[in-house]
Order: sequence, then structure tokens, then C-alpha cells
Amino acid sequence: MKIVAVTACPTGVAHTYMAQEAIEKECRKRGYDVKVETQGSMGIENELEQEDVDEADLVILAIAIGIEGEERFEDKEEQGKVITVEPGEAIKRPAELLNKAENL
Amino acid sequence: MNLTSLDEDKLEVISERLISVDCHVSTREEALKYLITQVKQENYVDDGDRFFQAVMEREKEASTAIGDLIAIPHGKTDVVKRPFVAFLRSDQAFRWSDASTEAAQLIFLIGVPKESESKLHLKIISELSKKLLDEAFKEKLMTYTNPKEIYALLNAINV
Repeated sequence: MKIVAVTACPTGVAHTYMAQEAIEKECRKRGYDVKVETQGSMGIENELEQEDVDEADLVILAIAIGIEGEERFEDKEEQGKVITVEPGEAIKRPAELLNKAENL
Repeated sequence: MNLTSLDEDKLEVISERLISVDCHVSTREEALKYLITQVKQENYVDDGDRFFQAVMEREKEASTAIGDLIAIPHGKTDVVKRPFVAFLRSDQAFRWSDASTEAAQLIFLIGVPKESESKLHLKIISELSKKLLDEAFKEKLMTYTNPKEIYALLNAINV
């Protein structure tokens, strides 16, 4: 299983990075391949290439604001393989989030 | 070189003087006021009232209680002169806000200037935030009694 994700919150100092950590941790625990892009106060880091997105089985958007490069996920959106949640949810309940994503 | 800038350079993101354990506070407002008095005293913020307002504005968007008795209220405003993380552990857990059922006891107040000049400071804050998901780390924050120990713990973040 390969998962890509984007995390972003309004201030971009804490939640963005905590959500990244929470998703990475849960994916590693399940033995999944994971790459998480952060759009925070330090700009865009660990940016997802179109190739990364195309290869992914699932896309998680843990975002509370509009993000850059949303068009990268259009195909996955059409396939119904994108799940969007608040960053806070990803931080608090990463296991639930992954369960939900797996059932897409 | 003037003395003022030299002094300011000494202001670290995490400082032992911004760490308080077992404070008797039982509401979000009390906790924030307590922490803000300290960051003001230590010259991280030049207008405590405005910083309080900025933090409360952010709280209104979504509560910053993130579960496991942790809250990370924060504000990004031009009254913050230097980025900081201040820590308070209250003597008992309390309900963080009316809007959410989450309780808080470990409170990290984060402040960053509107225009952040230093990526390093932001990096320290983001790495520290990530550590808050680590069980062993949380356990230590809950049990250490000496602010010096907590300072060493927080300051051991690898950037």
C-alpha cells in the first residue's frame, strides 16, 4: 500500500507538522509506503510530484485551508481515492483515519 | 555592536524561564494569562493583550486541544518579537474550551512573529510539536517535577 498526503493549517506552525507525524507513524506501523507533503510556515516541504500521486493507492488531505497544487489529485479524486479531514482529526485519531481511507 | 541586539540574540526559542510546573490554573484564560505574563516579562512579546487576542482568535477557528491532555494554543502576530515555546503544566486537568470536550493539563503556548525571519526557529517548533505524539515524551512531561529537567527534555530536540 502506498499513501500520499498533504497537511496544512491556518498558522502553519504546529498542526501541519503534527498531522504529518501522526500519518507517517500510523502508516509505518502498518508497513505502508508513505510520503507527506507539508504546506506550512516553512513553505512547501517534501513536495509530492505528480508521479508520487499517480503511484499512490490513496490520498489523504489533512487540511484546514486551501492548498497549492490541488490539481495533482484530480484523477485520484475521480477514482474516489481521496479522503479529506481536519488536521486535528489526523492528529487525534490517525488509526481511524487510516481505517476509513482503506475502505474507500 | 550594540548591547540591545546582543541581548536579543540570547533569547532562545525554549527557555527554562518559560517553563512552569504544577501551576494552579483551571481555565484556558487563566493558563494563557499566566503564560503571557511570563513571555512578556522575558521580552518575547511586547503587547500581552494583543497577543492574547490573537491566540483567542485562533482558538475560535478550532480548539487547539489535541487530545491526551495536551493543548497548543498559538499566535502569529507582529507583537511577537522572537519565536518562543512556553510550557505550563497545571496541577490538575481541566476542560480546555466550551467548544470541545478535550481536557488539558500540558499546555504549550507558541508565538511566532508575523514575518518569520528564521526558518531554524520554525523548525524547532515543528519538531517539538511532532515529539508531542511520542508516548514516552508525554509521560516525562507529565511526571518530571523540576523545570530544569523539562527544559533539558524540550531542548534535546534534534533539528
